[in-house]
Amino acid sequence: MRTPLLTSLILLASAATASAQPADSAPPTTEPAPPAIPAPAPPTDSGATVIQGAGSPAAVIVDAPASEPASITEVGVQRLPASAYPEWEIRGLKYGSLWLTFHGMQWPYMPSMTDGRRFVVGISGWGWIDNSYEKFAPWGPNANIERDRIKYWKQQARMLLRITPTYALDRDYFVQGQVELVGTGDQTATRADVGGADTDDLYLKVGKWRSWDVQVGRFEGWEVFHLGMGLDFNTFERQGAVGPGESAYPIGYYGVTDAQFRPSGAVGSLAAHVYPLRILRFEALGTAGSNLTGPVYAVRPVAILDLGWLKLKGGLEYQHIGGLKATDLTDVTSKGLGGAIQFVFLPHIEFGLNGAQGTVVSIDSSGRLSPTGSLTRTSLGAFANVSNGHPRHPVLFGVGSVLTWTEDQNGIAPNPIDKVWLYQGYLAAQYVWQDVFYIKLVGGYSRAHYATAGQDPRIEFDNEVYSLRLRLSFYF
Amino acid sequence: MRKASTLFGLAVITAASSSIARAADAPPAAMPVAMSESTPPPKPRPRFEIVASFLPMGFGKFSAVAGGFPVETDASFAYGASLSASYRIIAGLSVGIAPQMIFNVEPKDQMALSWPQSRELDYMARIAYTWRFVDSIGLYVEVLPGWSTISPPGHQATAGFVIAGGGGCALDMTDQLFVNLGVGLQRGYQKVADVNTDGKSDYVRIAVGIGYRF
Repeated sequence: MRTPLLTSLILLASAATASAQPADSAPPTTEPAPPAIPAPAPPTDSGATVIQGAGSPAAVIVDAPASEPASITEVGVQRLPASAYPEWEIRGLKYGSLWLTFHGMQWPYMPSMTDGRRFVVGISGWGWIDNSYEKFAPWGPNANIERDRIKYWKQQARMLLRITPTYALDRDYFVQGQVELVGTGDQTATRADVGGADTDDLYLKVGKWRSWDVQVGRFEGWEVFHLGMGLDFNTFERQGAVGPGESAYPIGYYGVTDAQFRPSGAVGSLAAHVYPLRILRFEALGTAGSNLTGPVYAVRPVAILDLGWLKLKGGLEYQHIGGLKATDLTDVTSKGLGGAIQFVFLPHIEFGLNGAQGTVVSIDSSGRLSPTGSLTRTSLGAFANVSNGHPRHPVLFGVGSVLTWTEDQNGIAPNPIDKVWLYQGYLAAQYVWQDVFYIKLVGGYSRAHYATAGQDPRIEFDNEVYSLRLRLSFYF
Repeated sequence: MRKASTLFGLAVITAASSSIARAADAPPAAMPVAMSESTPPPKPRPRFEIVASFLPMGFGKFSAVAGGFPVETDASFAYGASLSASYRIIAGLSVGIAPQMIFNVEPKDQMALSWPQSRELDYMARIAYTWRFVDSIGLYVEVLPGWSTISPPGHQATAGFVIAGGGGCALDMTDQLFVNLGVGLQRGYQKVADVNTDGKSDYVRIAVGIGYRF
């Protein structure tokens, strides 16, 4: 008699409990919830005084034995929540190229919300797999033309795990470290190759949130020249129409980029960041060390005015590379400046214009000017992204172009100096699934036109390349 | 008695199960109902649309006769513009016109084939089918048959049939305004009328457009 009734009641109670849990019917949240605020630690009684036999004539005061420190220390490991990606002002169209840039803001932003000390290891990262094809089609009186007639299939991949231990002293001050561990899919790439590094960021940072910080280690300087949804690092369209026959010509785009990217070799950076206003940000980046060529030092100040819908960026840089040996007179000095203006009109369109010019004066190891290594590079670029702004099925189109003129000091009469222009353009379409999985198709076109010194008329030839690339990315 | 109690228990279980089922099936909140009462039904999509497109034309081939022999060589990267007008006759299926003009039509290497930089004018019809898997996103395929002329300066024009086909994606910015990105192939059969020799072009046709619906 009792058993079925009890069973029924238990089942009924279970059912009521289950139906009362709204999580089952609620849609899954795509962004991780902010971390639960840890409860304050209870006061410890180690070393407290205890009265034994209180109230009796034989009361004795004794010290209680000190308790052992906990053998397990709680450490928070947290997938970076949405709040760790700051948006003091609008970064850009959601999932677009500007949105994936932080415009100098401090990130990961991991303050303590309780005014107490807090140690958390933040976990984040991203990985991508590129499947791409390119075909070169050179023409003209080029002595290396047969070397340039190539087509290429390539799959390359990169996965990056970002670990960010952050010790927040309170809401304001913090100590933060970050290491980005990289796995590379292209097994032909060595550590010294472009994209072959097994570590991206490795830095320490101390400062006050939204006010200032000092950062030291291996990291990138702030971006000035924005390329949009194409021309990604380590891709065919980024390389442009520079075939194997012309690889000696350093004609790639210039965007205040000589000292921006993470240096190779035993070289590190030190940067001071100041945020006098929410909309105004400054970086003073210094780099020093020795790479395979020799001792190198550089400075690169950048300023960003960010009103959200309008962003103005400007930067300067100076870099010097010397020779390793005492008798080596190598002296390569690079200088440059550039700026960008970007507009964001949510939720549908963003676009921008960039310009930069840099010079290189190259003295070789014997102290003579290297005429082909001494360059003036000028790049102009533009990009535009549009989005349907759909919350569940966001699709973005991107278009962009960069035109770069390069002139060296190859002073051979009757036509001194080599002149080369390089055009790089792309179209991109991107769909984002579940906020974290990006599917992007990029078609690229690039053309380089070479006009070489020393002949009358000049020897002029061309190269062009078409490329197609499908990138699958996972951001976490 | 035991039988009766078992039946009672089963009845309670059944009642509980049905309440679970109802709880799972029930809408999470009354909001959708409220929304359906307050939100007007979506307006029917306008049937007529015009699109202005920029046309990068790459991976081209140009064929002509040089020294009495037919020669096919790579064409220079060309660029053009198109203005299309389409009318949706039934769900998804549109017909219209899409005239386009292409510049820089010429062989890439003048050493291989001498032909002056020319302008191509294509009078094309457009038949397209659009599938909307989301309200603001349309995937389309299209066929554009037509008549084409290539006019080299100082030379006799070539003319003939041209056909293009491809697919793309259109994104709605508003109910009327949209952008589209398409890719396809275009093949020309232009000839010099008097001597019946080729002067024709083939391209990979990209279309980057902005459109408006009426």
